[in-house]
Amino acid sequence: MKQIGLLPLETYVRTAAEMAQWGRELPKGHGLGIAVHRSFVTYVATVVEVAVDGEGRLTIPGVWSVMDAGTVVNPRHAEAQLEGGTLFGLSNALFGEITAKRGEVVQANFPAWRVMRMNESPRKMEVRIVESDAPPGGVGEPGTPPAAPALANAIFAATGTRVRRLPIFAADRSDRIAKEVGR
Amino acid sequence: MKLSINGQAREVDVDEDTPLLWVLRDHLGMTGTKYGCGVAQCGACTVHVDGVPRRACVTPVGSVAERDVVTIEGLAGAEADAVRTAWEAIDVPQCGYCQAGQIMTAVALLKEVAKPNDDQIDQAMAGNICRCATYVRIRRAIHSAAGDDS
Amino acid sequence: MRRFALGLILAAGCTKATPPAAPAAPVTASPASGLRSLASLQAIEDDEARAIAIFAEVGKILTHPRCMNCHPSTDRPLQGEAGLPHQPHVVRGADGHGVPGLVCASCHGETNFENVPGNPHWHLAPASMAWAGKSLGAICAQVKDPARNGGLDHDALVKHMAEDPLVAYGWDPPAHLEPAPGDQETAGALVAAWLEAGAHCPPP
Repeated sequence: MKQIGLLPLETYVRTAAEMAQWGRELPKGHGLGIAVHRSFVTYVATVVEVAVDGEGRLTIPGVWSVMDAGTVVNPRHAEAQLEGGTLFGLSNALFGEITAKRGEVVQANFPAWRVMRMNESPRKMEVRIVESDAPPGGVGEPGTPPAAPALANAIFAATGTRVRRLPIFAADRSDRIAKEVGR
Repeated sequence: MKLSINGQAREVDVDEDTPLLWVLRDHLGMTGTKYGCGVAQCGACTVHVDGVPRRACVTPVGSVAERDVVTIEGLAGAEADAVRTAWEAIDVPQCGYCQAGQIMTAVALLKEVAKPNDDQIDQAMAGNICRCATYVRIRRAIHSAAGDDS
Repeated sequence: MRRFALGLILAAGCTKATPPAAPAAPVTASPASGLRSLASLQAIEDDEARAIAIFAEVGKILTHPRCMNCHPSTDRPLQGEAGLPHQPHVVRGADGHGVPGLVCASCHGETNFENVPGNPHWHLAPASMAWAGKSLGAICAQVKDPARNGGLDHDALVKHMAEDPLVAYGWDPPAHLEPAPGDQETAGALVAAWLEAGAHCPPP
């Protein structure tokens, strides 16, 4: 039985990169970003592809994610959780700003708190669950942490500008990132 | 007030400006239609009024008195069957809360567009939020229900 | 933005049905409307100067968010006083009423309800009638060009402004939104006076 917490993260980085065909020629304005994280005794590596057009409009054409959660009882469920957890992370990285004013949260409902919708979700999404007999880890949350850094890295690859603050989109519902990325 | 819900005549004693969603859930006990945001942002309360998808939370019940209301409980027909089959086969729901609304919209789309492309699916479904983010599976399931497994 | 968000939040906070406001009394033109009176405009003798001065007042109405938000420069309507992109993401579709599965009437009913504006004719103006982001001169040229105003001749243009039931919504929004300046009757009278003065436009 393998030891928890000592596996090289490199394994997962390499798998996610392979899934995304890292190194392939990308269309103009596209960029790939990668991130890996261990949480809830589970490893997840994620690659995000972004496309940023000349006016700063961002789309996410593809996401690839690999998870090692040790022993998995219901692989289809784990796959669905990895998809959802990853997109949940992307949604928060893109839009999930929470601010308070006079002790009260400003974003009381969806009009003020934007979340990822169908039209903003990736057209291509591939997830893989590593076969393992190690003790089981979580499958719900671990998809979330690597999503934001993978996205931010992809934006850097596409635009040359580092994201220094999240969320990437301001609360003004802008669909353009140009101004916000460097703020 | 007389209503037609899922082809059945129903009578309720409510003010005309009561949201249809309240009438369905609280007065008629039909809880398949969900309350999400209450401000027409999330789509969880989607029903069909004369075949057109409509957010029940912002629909005064008086405005549907003479019209055919269909809820998830009464959704039927070839498109509905295909959508239910695809949803099950692809394991779309996670928590499931938004799925009644998602299915109501998906069926409305397929009734009008037999084989929608990704753009058409995204545009139709953009009004239905899923916090579990099952979007990728919803898109795949709609293609599958349309007989297009690409 | 803040105002807009607040209005929606207030509405969102209602956990049970609230009675709708009593039918709004027609807004009457007054100095408070922010529009110059037609009489003072009619006093301008030079036709071109008078037409341009009148159109400046018409422009206050056309470029108000209640009108502009549904004359967007893209396929998406705008929302609220700041004219932010509409959420949820909606598009005009083939006829300005939305797309299969998500039409305007999926949320916008025949009347205002809670925080959601309503009108039996709720839809987007055709792309040819896009005003957002344009100068008043450009909007003016567009308004009098039948190829870009929905095929309206002068009489039809006045009738549209003065009587169209969807245009009427501009002065009858839900409580959290500001009505367009003046009233519909004044808007029609201004357009009629502008046409009468020769329909001259501000510089583009």
